Order: sequence, then structure tokens, then C-alpha cells
Amino acid sequence: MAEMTEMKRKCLETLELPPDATMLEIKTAYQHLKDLYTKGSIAILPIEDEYPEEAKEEIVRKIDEAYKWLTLNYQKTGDAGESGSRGGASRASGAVREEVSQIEEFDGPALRRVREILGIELGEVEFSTKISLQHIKNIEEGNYRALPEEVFVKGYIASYAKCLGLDGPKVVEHYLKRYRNGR
Amino acid sequence: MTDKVEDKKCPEIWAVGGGKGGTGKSFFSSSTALCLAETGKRVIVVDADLGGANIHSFLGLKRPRVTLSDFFEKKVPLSDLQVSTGFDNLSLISGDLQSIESDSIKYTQKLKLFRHLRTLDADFVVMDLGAGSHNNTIDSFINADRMLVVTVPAVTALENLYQFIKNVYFRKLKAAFAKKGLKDRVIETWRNRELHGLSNLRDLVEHLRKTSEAMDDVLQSEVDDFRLQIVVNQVKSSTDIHLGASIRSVVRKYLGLNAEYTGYIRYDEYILRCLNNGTPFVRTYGYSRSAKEIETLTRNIINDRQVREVI
Repeated sequence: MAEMTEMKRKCLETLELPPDATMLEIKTAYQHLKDLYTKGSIAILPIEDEYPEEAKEEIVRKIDEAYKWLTLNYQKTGDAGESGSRGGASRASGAVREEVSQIEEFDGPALRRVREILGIELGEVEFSTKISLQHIKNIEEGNYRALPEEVFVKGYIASYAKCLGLDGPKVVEHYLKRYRNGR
Repeated sequence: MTDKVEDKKCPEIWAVGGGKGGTGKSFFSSSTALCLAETGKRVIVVDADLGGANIHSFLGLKRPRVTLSDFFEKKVPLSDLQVSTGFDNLSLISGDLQSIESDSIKYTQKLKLFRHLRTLDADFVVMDLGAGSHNNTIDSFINADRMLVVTVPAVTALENLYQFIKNVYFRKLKAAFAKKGLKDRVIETWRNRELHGLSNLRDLVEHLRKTSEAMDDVLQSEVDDFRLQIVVNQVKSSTDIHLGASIRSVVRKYLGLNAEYTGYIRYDEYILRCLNNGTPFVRTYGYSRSAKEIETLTRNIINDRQVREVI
């Protein structure tokens, strides 16, 4: 089992993640690195010409391998981790999945809970969805009267759900039902 | 914040560099110093941007009369150069050198400066190094306890940043070999890089490691010791926030060095307004998101934490 743990640590290191990274973090980091080294970025541009193309291919290959190993073995190593002490990784990844799957109705507080479980700041939601901070708060608190017309709210909820990695149409449907009743 | 350095007698020295000018090194240095001071830590901000010192402006102060040139030329003790900033727990040592050229400071003088900085009665010394990749800047950077780089989401800034990091590492390698009596080994190897088939820093390090088993150990410990903390300033979108992670990755995977993405500060036009009004931004607009981000960032530095975002 020690070998498994060591392999896991190495793979997480390749994806530039801490030892207690959650499965969601693994997925996000993988996607980010993969894009970085296959699509290019201003972060690579100034240094690229010093390194041969093979260097980049090698990096991508290692990232792919690490991700593949982690997706296949993550759960196993998580459970096998520090026995008794409830390892952070297994707890966090399990918790995310469990909590989200238990939510039946996506109202404001439910969205906030998902956001908090994922460790996403309000400011980051604002950045990626372009919804104003006040409206994100209104959405989470269910201040339906403070929110704009339905057509806008529909767009807000769809992008917020996307930002949290949730099933967009389902969340929109749940939320708008409450919104209409609450107005 | 944790009291990691409480039991230590000498202050922890932070060096703030990054190559390009105008990325916000002085703004960040003064702001993070104010954040530290607010938590009750005794902080001295040292404006080591010899020749271009302007931290005093960020603190709303006039150009101090006593500066590091008094230390270098007249042997005035550093503690006498500390000027009060008007903010609790925070004093300033200005680096403005009017009479002598900043490049003329000898290596021994720099070492002396560091020796004396460590005797100052404070918890933290935050050194703003200014732009450029001169040996002067680089040596100060290497000697510090924490190496912080500030950059902005612009390809030019990143170009200079990587150059700066490479220079820092190159100089560290040279010093490591010099200690073993192989003073010119690094530079000679690099000069003959075509012969050795080396095209970048990573190749060089790998080549040097093969010199001998002893050197392999020395280089391993050099690599292990080396730790950069990256700050991305003036972010305007989530793409910009993610750029910090990309830079970290490039430094790790291409340069083979240990880097951490410590934090970001979003662009706020009030930062410039505050500067021009002579009021420190983090105190005037303490509730703004940029100010909160600087607080988080300062905590991350002390606790060796990184930006951990999931979008």
C-alpha cells in the first residue's frame, strides 16, 4: 500500500497538486495543464523557443499518465490512506459527491452550499459569470424581489450552475419555480 | 496569522522582485507590510530599489532624508535610518542613493547590509528590490528568507520574469560551485553549451549534476532550497487568475524549479488615485476586494499556502 501512496503523491505532484487534493481539483488541474501545454498561453510563449517540441510532448505525456493513474486508483488510495485518521482526500472527494447528490431542490442556500463545499469564493463566481456580487448574494439568499426580470435570472442561474459544475437545466428549473412563487 | 517566527530573534527577510518595472512591486511591498503591521507584527519595509526608490509615496510620506547611502558611505547604523511611517508597527528604510551609483556597491557591502538587516529589532523585513536583473538585485534576492516575485498578465512582464528567475538560479549555481572551488565551472559549461548540446537551464543543471557525486548532492540541495512565491497583480478576469497557475507550471516543468502560486490582486483604479493622494490603498479602501486579496495573500505567504481555486 505504501507504493500506492507514493505513486499517488508523484502523480499529484505532476499535476501540481497538494497530497490532499480532491477528485474535482484533480480534474480541474488536469484540464488546465492540458490546455496550457497543448493550446498555448502567454505563460509559455516567452520560453517556448528554448525548449524543443519534444519537451512539451513529454510534459503532456506525463500529465496524461498521472491523470489516468489517478482516475483509476484514486478511490482505492483514498480509502487505503492513513487508516483510522480519515484521510483528507477521501473525505473531501466523498463529501463533495455525497453532498451534491443529496441535494434534491436547487434553491439559493443549496447553491451556496455547493459553492462552499467546492471552496469557491464569491469573487471568483463574479469573475467567471459576470454576475454582480450583490446579485450572487441575492440569488443565494433567495431575495427574489431584489432580483431582475425572469429572463435575466434564467441566464444568471444557468451560468452560476455551470460555474459550479452542476446540471444547468435542472438547476434553472428548480430555481425559477421558487423565483416565480417568491415574487 | 500563525506565529511561526515568534521564537526567532532575527527578522524574517522577504525580498520582492520580478524583473519588469511597473508590475506593482512597490505597491505590493508597502501593502503587504501594512497588512503584517496591522496584525501586530513589527515590520520594516526596506526600499532597496537603489536609484528608483519610491515606497515612501505609497505610504504617503515625503522622501526620507536618511537613506541606505548613509549606511554604505558613512557607516550610519541601520537602526538610525529607520523612519517612522505614522502607521503602528511599521517603519521605513529608504534606499535612495543620490551620490553613488547603485551598481558600484560591492558584494561585501551587500553581505554586510544583510548581516545588519538581520540584527534589526523587528519581526519582518520586507525588501522591495525594484526592476531589472542586475547582480545587485539578484544577490539581495538570493540572500533573503523568502523570494517573492510580482508580475502582471502581460507577455512582456512574463518574459522578464523568466529571465529574472533564470538569472537568479544561474547565480545561485555559480555560488554553489564557487564554494567547492569550481568557480568558473558553470559559466564555462554554459559558454560551451553547443559543444555539450545544452539549450536551456534545465539541460545545464542536468549536465552539471553529472560532474561528480558530490556536485550532484550540492545541486540537489540547491534545487530543494530554491522556492519562489508568485504574485499576479492587476488581474482583470478569471483567466488572469488562472495565469498564476500556468506560470507556476512553466517554472516547475520547464525550469525545473520549485514555485508556488501564492496569490493575486485584482486591478483597481483607486490604487493609483490613492497613490496620487498620498493615502495607502489598503488602509483607505480596506474593504475593497483588492485589499482583501492582499490580506489573503499576506496570510498565504506566512503560512506557505497557495491559491487553491476550483472553477
